[in-house]
Amino acid sequence: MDLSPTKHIVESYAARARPMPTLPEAVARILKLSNSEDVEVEDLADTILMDKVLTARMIRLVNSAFWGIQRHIESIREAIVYLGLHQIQSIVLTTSLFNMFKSRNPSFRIAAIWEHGLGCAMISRIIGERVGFPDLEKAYLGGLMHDIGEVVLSQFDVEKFNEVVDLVQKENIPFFEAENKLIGINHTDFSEWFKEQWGFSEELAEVIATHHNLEKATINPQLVAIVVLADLFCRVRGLDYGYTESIAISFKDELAWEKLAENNHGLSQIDLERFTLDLDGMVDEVKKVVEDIYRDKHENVTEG
Amino acid sequence: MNDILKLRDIVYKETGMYFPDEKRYYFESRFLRRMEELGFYSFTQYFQFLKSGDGRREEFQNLMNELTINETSFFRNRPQFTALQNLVLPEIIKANENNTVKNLKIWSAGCSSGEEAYSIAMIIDEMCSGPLSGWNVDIRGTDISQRALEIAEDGKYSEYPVRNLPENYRNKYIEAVNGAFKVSDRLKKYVRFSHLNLSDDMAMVFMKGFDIIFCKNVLIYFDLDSKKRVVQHFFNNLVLGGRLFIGFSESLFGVNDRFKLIHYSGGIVYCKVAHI
Repeated sequence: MDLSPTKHIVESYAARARPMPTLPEAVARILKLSNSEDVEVEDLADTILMDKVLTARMIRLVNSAFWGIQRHIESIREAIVYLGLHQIQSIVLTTSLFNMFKSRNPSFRIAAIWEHGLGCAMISRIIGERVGFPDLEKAYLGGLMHDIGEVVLSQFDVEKFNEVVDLVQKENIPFFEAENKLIGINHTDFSEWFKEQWGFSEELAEVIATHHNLEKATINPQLVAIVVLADLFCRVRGLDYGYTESIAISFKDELAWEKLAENNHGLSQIDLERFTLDLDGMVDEVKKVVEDIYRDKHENVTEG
Repeated sequence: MNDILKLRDIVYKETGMYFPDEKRYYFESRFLRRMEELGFYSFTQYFQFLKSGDGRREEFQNLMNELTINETSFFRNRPQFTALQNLVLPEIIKANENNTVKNLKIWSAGCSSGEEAYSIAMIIDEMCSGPLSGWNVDIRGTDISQRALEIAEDGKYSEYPVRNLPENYRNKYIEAVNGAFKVSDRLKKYVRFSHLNLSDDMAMVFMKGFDIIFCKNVLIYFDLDSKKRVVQHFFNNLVLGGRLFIGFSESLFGVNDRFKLIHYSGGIVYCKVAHI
């Protein structure tokens, strides 16, 4: 297969996106710290505290019901102790990513991408938990990042992307289809680029690349399947990009469901209605968390 | 397990109505109201009573009355009507494209005072000059209560049930008459009301060829065996590809596994398929 036309278009977007935002220094250090074996809570807390906005947001985020801490957390040290390093890493990434790209497209809210991402992150984690997936933070990150290509597409050729949005609404088709039609590539084609720019793992890059094409996943199909289901779920529960989609989904007919059931025989017996109602219960919480994280951003905007 | 969650789960097992953890405040307060009425001092006592006490069936009914906001109003549970309009009806229309005779039969089972049946009729009427032109549409409303059926046939309501009605529908289909709100004759021509007990097997057999059945917050009052019978009737009453809408928070898990579960924006619907 000749990949060059796709590559060519990806490159042209990449050129416009340069210089690519780099991960803030504090975030990069935190990720490095929490990956190392013998990290001290004090070191990690000090590094997070260097970034005031990050600190405030993290405190708000850890106090959301989603993380299941029964008491009110008032300091970063407490948060690390209660949540552990892995979850702290997820939270740091969540809170810092939201601010990294400035919105250049007045007709498309970049926040919508992160709302959907955070929704998928939380739902992926819950699905992962239910199916006994061994690394819940990986599921969370997969959900958070899967549509990151959309950030580039929506911000670096505004006119074209607005046409995409129009087509999505007019024909009630998914974004990737409309993107293929009008741009010739879609948001999944940026996986390699993000891998190079931000050092994403092979697994994470695969989630970005194959979440609309699960058959192609070879490194960790289970992980991709979890994100695919979370993505579908978000779309039928108003955690999408805000363009009301009329879609009907039978989860049990989805390839992603089949893939997960291969390794988890209990899944075919799962009470899907109850599971759905449980997730429904989470939807308001997800929306609240996104609002909370964005609150200071809006405040900043009004302060000029 | 925590006694409150045990109560939540026995309610689910017996009635099919489920409340996620996030709604804990809601179901806890409802349990407390029933406990106060019955003079129970602990959730454990109440749980034991629901599990094996005399009169547990009646108590489930009382508890359901407490847990469901037992009101009927136009367009109650809006996403269902949106799904009806944007997903279900277009599919039925498409599937019948090549038929010369086009019949659409919709059943509001347990219709109470008729608001649901008339809401469906509004959606149908809107589509009758467009995609549903040339169709014969028959909306049936059935209930066990004669009193409710009388109100339904009369079609006269107070302000409360019409409060969520979209402005354009209200202007088009509702007339204000002496402080009451009356549905127009234009709507009435689609809808027929009749008495039916869902537990009457003989009568249920005669309900045939429905494309869509709505049965919201009714099955929760049946015990598991009766519920299984009613839902199996619904399955038989539907044409292939027919849909069954049940209430928000309701589930058919463990009741009938012949339907396919479909998720749409804001809810679920059960679909009768050939093989599952």
